[in-house]
Amino acid sequence: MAPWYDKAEAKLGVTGTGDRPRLPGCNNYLVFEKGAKALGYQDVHTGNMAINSVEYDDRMACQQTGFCFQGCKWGAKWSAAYTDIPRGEATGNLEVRDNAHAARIRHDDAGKVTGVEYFDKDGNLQMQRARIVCVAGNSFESPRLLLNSASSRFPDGLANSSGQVGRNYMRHTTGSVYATFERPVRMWRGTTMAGIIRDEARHDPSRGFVGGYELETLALGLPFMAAFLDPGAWGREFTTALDSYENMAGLWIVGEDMPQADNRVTLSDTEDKFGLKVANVHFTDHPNDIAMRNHAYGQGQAIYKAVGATRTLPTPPYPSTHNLGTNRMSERAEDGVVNKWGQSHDIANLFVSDGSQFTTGAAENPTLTIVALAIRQADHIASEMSAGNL
Amino acid sequence: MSQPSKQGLTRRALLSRAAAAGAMAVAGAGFIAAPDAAWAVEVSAISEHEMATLLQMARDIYPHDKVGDRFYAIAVKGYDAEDHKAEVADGIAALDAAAQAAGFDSYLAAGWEAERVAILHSVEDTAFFQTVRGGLVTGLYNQKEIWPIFGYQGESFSEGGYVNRGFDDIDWL
Repeated sequence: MAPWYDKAEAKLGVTGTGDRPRLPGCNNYLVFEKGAKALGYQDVHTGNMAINSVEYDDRMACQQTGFCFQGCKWGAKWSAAYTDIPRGEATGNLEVRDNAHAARIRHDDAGKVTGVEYFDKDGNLQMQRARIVCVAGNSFESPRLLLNSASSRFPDGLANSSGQVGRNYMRHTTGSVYATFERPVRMWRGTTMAGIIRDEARHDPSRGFVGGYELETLALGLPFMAAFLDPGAWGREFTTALDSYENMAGLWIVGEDMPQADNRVTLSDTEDKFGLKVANVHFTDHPNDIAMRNHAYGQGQAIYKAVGATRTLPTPPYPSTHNLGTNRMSERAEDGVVNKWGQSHDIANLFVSDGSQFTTGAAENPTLTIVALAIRQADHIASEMSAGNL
Repeated sequence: MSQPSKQGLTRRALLSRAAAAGAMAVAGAGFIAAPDAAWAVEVSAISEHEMATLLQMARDIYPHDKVGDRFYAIAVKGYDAEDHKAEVADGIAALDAAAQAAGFDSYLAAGWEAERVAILHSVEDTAFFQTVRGGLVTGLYNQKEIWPIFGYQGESFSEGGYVNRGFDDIDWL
């Protein structure tokens, strides 16, 4: 994977890799860093971010604006929307059909996929023939499409002879810790998540759980904070925390959650406006996830207490984070959906190209690995097509 | 708080009586208003008592002592609509009944916040309470006018971000 990680880092302009400098630390980071160092953490910095610290790839440097989750109005944060897609269109080999909704993947009598049926932006059913189909709809829609493509030959859905399509849905063990201080922090100023502690991202069962986690800076705007600081809470315990919003710092826990076969995406009886069954998602924490989260809450609170926090707030996980798994990669066909190239075990010209391939979530934000896997898969497909094998 | 009779009172007289009584808000004919007349909310679909109760309820659910009543009034004034009329009537009647069970004439008659909060806890699993609470999360905190009270600066793109405006200006670490 190493060469493809390098390619992905260069494509995204990841800070702290190649010769790209890291981002400067904002107020929220400086509080976080001081607490982390006080606890003896060593691997503490502003992270490996797909946000330009200097001009790179015709995109400007970060202006410390905040709201990074919404996308970057400056274009400092990498997005395929203004890099790869327009460049691909410029080659004449890429066509993007907006507002199209894939309905099902079709196959022939030999069991090879032949294309995709989709509803176009006017709601008309269309068929796009294809030599190869790559599915990249994220961990809910990718298995949904495969399951909705069931046929008499593949009654349990495409690529599902193992019964693994939809299983082992993961979303990282998360949670947040906010803390208030005597004096202002103004955590909302600057890059939202440019700050990381990696020391806990190791396998050390003496902590009471397997796998590990990272801690990353996080700030929410006031309305979001009101909604997510303690959903459902009311009264002065809640409002006095918001009263100290200006003096608040925050971090986010991202840990490796345990793959569980029954955490899964299945088809619901509910149908969307096209008459296609929607995805039903089931998820429960594994005891290991809970033990990890509790450890991280303790460490997060200790970090802020080391900087003089007047109050710490171990905040419950947000409703969704990184969706992973559900079409997992496996060496043996009976254990998973795709092989090491993301190629389905059952159908040679059907690939999965998104994070649903993941076998575990690792203690990391997943975009870089998704991009690295996609580049690697593309290289493989190109060479197999050239060799006449696909 | 006591509910002054509105019969025979002008708006001005009503306001001055409320101010003398130190009330948070006062119900008049077709409106409720601050004792100092700093703000007023007209009501047409629901009653003055219902709006005054909603307003107190909003403050007791999300009490911010530096946030004026006018912001809470904006957050709940949407309940003064025909399609909320029955829901509000039933919800406030149930809240007043809970207050009476706790020994008060009404929810508004409970003088201490802690007394009203205890009454709210007795109804917090009801759909009405949860509707009001959930609506306040956006209705109150999405008002840009209250953000400065919390020190929050909102969007920064229009001012060029914080790269030259204090993204790393913390001076007490």
